[in-house]
Amino acid sequence: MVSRIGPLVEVGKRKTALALHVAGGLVGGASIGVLLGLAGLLLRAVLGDTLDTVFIVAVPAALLYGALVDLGLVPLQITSERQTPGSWDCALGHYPGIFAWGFDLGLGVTTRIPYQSLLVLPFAALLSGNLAAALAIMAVYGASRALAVAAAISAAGSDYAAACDAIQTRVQPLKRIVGATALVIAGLIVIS
Amino acid sequence: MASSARLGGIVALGGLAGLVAAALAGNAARPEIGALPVFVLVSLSLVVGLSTAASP
Repeated sequence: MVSRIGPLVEVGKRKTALALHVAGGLVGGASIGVLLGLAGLLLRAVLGDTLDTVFIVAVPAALLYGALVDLGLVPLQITSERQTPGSWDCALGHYPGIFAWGFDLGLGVTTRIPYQSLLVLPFAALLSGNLAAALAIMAVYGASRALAVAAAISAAGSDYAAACDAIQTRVQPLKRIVGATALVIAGLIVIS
Repeated sequence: MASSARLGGIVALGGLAGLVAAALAGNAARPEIGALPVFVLVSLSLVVGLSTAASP
């Protein structure tokens, strides 16, 4: 991501572009959070308190699956091969393009899935049956993903190739951290 | 060195903001599933989101 988004901020004002990318991520995450929250309210209207039982069983089970895959213990992976189109920068204009890029990544499920634990987030947002909870889960994801990209680009200076090399060495350790976190959270939800 | 410090600072601020959002959502929204599950799921969002910059 850094190698593709990084050069985009070289055109125009760098800080403005990065701020727009973060804003796009926040709006993208919030948008899918609202949609999932509304769908969850519909589920709650249909299922009533049964939805809480479904949540307490299905979400930890999904977290366990995500954790086992991210820890490298299960080879199965669900993913999408779609990437944000590189043409958006030209088609939409520079600043709208980088905002849209953040928006697309902030949605979480429309591009390649780097961690299987990520899939649990929209699933849990839906099953929470609560608009504010769904909004918080997805908006924090969208904003933090975009913020991390902006921070990595900012720290890289203009040497995006070196940044990519550094990032490649951290992929597996980070996957294990995400998997371990998912495992702990599955346990916390079960005992809560 | 300065870049690493700035990177750490930005990520730490983002993490703090995320945890505040998690606490607010967990308490103020009064979710039927309970505050703790919402808090921990928002925390997971934060961990996954911040880790995703390392995705090639």
